[in-house]
Amino acid sequence: MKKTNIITGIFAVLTLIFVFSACEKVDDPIRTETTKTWIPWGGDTTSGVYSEDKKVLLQDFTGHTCVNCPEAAIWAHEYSNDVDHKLIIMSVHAGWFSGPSAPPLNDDFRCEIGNDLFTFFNPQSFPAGVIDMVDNGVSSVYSPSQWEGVINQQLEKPFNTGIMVDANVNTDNSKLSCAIKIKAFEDPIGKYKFVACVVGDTIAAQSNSNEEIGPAPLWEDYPHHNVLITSMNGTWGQFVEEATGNLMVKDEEYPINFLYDLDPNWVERKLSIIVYVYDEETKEVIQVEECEVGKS
Amino acid sequence: MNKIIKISLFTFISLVISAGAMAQSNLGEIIQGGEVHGNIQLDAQYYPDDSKLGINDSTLNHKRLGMNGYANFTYTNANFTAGARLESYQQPMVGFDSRYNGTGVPFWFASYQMSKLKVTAGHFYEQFGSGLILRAYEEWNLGYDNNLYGFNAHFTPYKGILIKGLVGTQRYFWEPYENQNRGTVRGVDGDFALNDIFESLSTSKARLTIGGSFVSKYENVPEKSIGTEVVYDTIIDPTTGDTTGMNRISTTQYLNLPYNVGAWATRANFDLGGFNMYAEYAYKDNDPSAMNDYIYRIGQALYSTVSYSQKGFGFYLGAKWIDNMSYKSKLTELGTPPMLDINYLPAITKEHGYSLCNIYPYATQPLGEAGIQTQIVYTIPKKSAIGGKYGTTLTANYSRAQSIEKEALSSDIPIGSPGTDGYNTSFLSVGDLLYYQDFNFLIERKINRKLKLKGMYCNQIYNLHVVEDNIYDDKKMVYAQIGVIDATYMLSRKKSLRLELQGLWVDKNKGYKDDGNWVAANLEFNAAPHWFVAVGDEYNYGNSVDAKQIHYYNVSFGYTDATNRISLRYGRTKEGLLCVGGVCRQVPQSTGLTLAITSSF
Repeated sequence: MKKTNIITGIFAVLTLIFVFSACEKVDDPIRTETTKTWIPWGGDTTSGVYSEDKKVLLQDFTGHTCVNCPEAAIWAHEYSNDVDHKLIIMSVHAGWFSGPSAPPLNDDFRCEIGNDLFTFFNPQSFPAGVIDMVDNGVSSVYSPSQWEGVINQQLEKPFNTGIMVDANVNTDNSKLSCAIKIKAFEDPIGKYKFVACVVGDTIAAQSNSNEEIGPAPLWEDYPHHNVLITSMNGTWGQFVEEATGNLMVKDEEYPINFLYDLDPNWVERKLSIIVYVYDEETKEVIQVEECEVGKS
Repeated sequence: MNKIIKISLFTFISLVISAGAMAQSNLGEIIQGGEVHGNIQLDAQYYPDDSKLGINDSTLNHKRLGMNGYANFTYTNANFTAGARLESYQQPMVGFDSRYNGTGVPFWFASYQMSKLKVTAGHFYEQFGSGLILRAYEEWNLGYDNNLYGFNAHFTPYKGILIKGLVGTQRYFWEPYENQNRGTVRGVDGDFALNDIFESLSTSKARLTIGGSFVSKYENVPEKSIGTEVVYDTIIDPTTGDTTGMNRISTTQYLNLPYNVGAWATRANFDLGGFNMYAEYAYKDNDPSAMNDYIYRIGQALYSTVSYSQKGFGFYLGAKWIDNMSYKSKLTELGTPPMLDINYLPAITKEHGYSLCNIYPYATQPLGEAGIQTQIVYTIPKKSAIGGKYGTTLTANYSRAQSIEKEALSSDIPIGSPGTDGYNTSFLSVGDLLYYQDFNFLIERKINRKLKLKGMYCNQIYNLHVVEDNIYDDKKMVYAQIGVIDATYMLSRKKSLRLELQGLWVDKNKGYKDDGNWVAANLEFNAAPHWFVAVGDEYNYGNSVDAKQIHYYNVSFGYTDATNRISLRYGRTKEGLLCVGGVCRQVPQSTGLTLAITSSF
């Protein structure tokens, strides 16, 4: 009995220690960090011309273990050629088919922004596309068989905003500098936000079910184009007028510069910046531009 | 994967041998005095094309054959037990998560009992109380397994007292625990049977057991930002008026996530004759996660049941109230199947045996739910005017689940805002939104020595948006009524025919039509104890899309010999939720030839 009491006592003491040490009450859940970066203004480094055509953004939800995704991605890139690159593609690796699997499918191209977009749009099958974030009343997610119709419909839409973008990356320190100009051709009806994303090309193994387009079931050196790496101003971006401290008015140009620390693993690859302006209320993309990142 | 398997097997064998050697004196004695038991289940499916269901190479990803199988082996010798389960998914059958693909030993253990202490090392299953703060279990049909890998101790210091303590990490498909890729679970539990502890109560007919538990998870939490605001301050040269540059002022909000999240529960169980009452209350500390959209609210749950039974009569009443009780060992984990759950929230709706009654099952809503279930069973005595020669059994069951009340913290903070307490609610409050309701009535009567009849009626209200899509509104309420007739006719002492007729009717004028009406029929021939043959069909004749008015036919037969059973089935499986105990997985529609083998020794 004495031995039992000792063991019981030890158990009780350990339990008490455990109870009082194994939980945390967080009194201040949010921590705020502010950084201030000086950006010397180098003038307009953009092409100097706003597109006269409406361009369309395809957010292609994909994954490197998704066997039907290469066919859809290749179709999209071919269709972008057909419409003079007025279709801008962003490959969002998120969801079920994007996590690392057994080698050689052990890559992971997921990023926080992509995960947020996946959670928000909640595609139920892969491949799936969100086109100009336009909602058909039921969903913003379209299967590949619907893409062409929705893209054509969006290409015909009027637009009232122009974007110019230029970017350069310093390969020594991985600092990406990006100059953006946004201009309203008329007074916008809604509150407009813009998002500036970095996308990159890479070669990695991909599952594939269609032998007609490439090696199947495993395509070991599949060229992944425009893989979403990050956004320089968050998943949903920022208001154009807040960014410049001005109201967005007709014919006014709004310059925005970014100086961004890029993941060094991506610096040597072909990189592009995709900037899109969208209506904060409807989420519909008004205009989108893409620019290849120069190297220095 | 092979490396992991080898390490697991090596560790397991080492533990078996070393622990066995400790408990006994030599290997010879271990083998001599020991017993080995095991059971095996193998399910394999071949998937042909089915143009009616739109199934082809592309949708199947060329996977024409799926196979799920396991083999459990347990060795027992006196106070020593060791066991292992080999699992193989090559490829996982349709509807099972592709991350299960592979073969390995996800479960092995060795345990011994010395005097009042029993220790298990390796993988183990455990439950504290009804599981409100801890339940590690496995459900093969769901593809669910959250076994813990570590140590588990049971200690009985005194008659009537059982203390449990454990520490471990949970299973996540085949992904090994490394680099703190998920949390560690620690827990203690005490169970006190007062009638056994106190001699003066030992003769009492009333039996009271009380208990309490504490669980904590430690997780190396990731950095989580909830938004960045960037403002630009343009600097202008006062002499020239030119823009010289900008200050980019970036303000990012990060969450201070807790590394340790604790939960505790207390419970009591009271028995007197045929009367039983059980109640458990659980509390969870702030646990921001992807499941609750990173709110810092505490979690609470109350679960209680009352039952009474005597010959010919049974009564059950259960109730539960849940607020923010999702508790996982990885805070970013989401999705189906619901992996890494530390706790289990008991189901409070009836699990039906008839297929059409199960088209609209209920999945527990861990973020907030108030539910109730009651059931009365009464057998009208045999040889009475109404009961007939053999008696008649009546079962009435009613269950209902609703939202809990949630009010915004303030007018400028929307409900569920990350980094806040989420919302205000009162303990045991009930909200207006109906999640699920099921009233069902079953009558069973043996007409004569050869014929037995069952009739069932179900009236269900199913909030499709809440149960399937996590959208908390009432825009897709399905009102369904189901009727079932089930007749068994004994052809001889060992041979019987069973006919099952079912119909499901959706009230499209009242709510959402979903797939519309169904009828189903199933005819089964049994030749005990070895053979059965069955044919059946479920026909979705009421689907508003003509192409989806599909016959889900099935033909099956099976043979049983001692503890071996083999069955073969060909047919279609309809799309839907498969739920066990309120935990569900999505089942896609498929066509296939299924071979199932089970065996035990």
